[in-house]
Amino acid sequence: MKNFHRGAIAALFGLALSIIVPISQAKADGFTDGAQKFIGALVIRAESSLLVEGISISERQVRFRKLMMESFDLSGVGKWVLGRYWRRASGIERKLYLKLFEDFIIATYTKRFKAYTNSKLQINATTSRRSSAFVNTQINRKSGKPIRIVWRVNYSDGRYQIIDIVVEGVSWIQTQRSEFVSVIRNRGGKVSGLIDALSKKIADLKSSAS
Amino acid sequence: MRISILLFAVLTLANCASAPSGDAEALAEHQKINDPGEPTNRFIFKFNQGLDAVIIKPVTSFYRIFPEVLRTGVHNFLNNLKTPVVLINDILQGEAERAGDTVMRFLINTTVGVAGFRDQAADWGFEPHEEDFGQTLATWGVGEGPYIMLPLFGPSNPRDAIGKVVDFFLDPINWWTENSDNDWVPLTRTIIGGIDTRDQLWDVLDDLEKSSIDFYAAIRSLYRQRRNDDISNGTGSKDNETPNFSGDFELADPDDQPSNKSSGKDHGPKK
Repeated sequence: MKNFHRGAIAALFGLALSIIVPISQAKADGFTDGAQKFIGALVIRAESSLLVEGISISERQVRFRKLMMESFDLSGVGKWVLGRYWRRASGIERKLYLKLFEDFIIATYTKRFKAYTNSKLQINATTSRRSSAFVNTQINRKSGKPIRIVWRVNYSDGRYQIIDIVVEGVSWIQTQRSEFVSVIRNRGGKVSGLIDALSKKIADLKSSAS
Repeated sequence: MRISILLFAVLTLANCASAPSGDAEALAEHQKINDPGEPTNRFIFKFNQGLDAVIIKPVTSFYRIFPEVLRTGVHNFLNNLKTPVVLINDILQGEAERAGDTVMRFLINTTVGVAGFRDQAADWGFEPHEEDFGQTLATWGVGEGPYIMLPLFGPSNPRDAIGKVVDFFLDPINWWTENSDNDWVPLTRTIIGGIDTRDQLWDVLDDLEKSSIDFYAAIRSLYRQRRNDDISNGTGSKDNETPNFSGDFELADPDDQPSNKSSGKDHGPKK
């Protein structure tokens, strides 16, 4: 009797698995394909809107901001980067911080993003883990090894959004988080300390850019 | 060199920032940062930055007058000198295919590559890779230990610092110079190697310093992530793929997430 039970359970389990697996597989495939196409389309869009001649610096920045806002989950990443300090922040601090985070990312990444898109990005395989797709790409150089770039993409609100860029194993959100947490810790554990540091940095970046 | 590392291990321990007590989250954060000697480390980092501004950067900027072709040649030459140590570590890690690549690289680049100045092997499909004894220790299961900022040598940890010393003694070139009274060789190699490294990092460091609000913390994070990537040979260890702070986006508690929408529920486009 015991053996029968075990056999039946195993069979049921196997049946359940055989039904569940193809469905989740198909779903995952649609997700990874979609994520890969999203990155491919983004690269083409960046090339056609940012790498054109004859537009002013301010126009370029406006376009870059638009592209960033549409393709990155900036507020989501901003919250994640703060970690446990997000809960401690007051409503005003949260609002102020998210706005500054956006400005900070756009000010610092205009240059870097241009470097990524300037050379041809080769899209390789895409994998998925939990709710994220990882689009593996590389930039081929004249000499030396190609640079590996992984785009981590989530799907929410009916659209794909980038939540991380991993260049040669270095994650953008992780680096940003460890830096921000360090600033907060060195300023008495206060989010206002980070807000001060961010606004100062943005002002510096703006004055050196003009 | 060994003595200086020991000295800093002692200094670091003596300077242990006290671990926070009571708050579990604060304690977890303290352990993740794993930098108990932070005040000392920051002091040494400042010292290194001063050294960079006064000596290393000016010398490197002079070196950068030379055309890139020549500098790439020097870089390739130095890399070729490293191949014996890379090979030993490939073998110690049981990486047969990589060991084969390293042997082929040495044979091709030393001959066709004109004493290593040309990386002909890469063009023929034998891509370069880094290995050192710090990485070997990591594959053997040795943890990195607390973060240490070494004077002159920069970011490290006990495992990687010991690895550097072991690599020095593993290097056949150093055995040869030791036995033939050519003591100038390792010193010259270290100096030129330092200038080459600074040259290779020129744009990266410049960009990072301009765009960071805590340069020290940014370097600390970058060093660890790059080392983890090297240890996993770029395949992405579990640690690396999952943000190793509070884990994955959806693993964190609700308030800790980037947004509720990007949690596990929305797994893909709805059909």
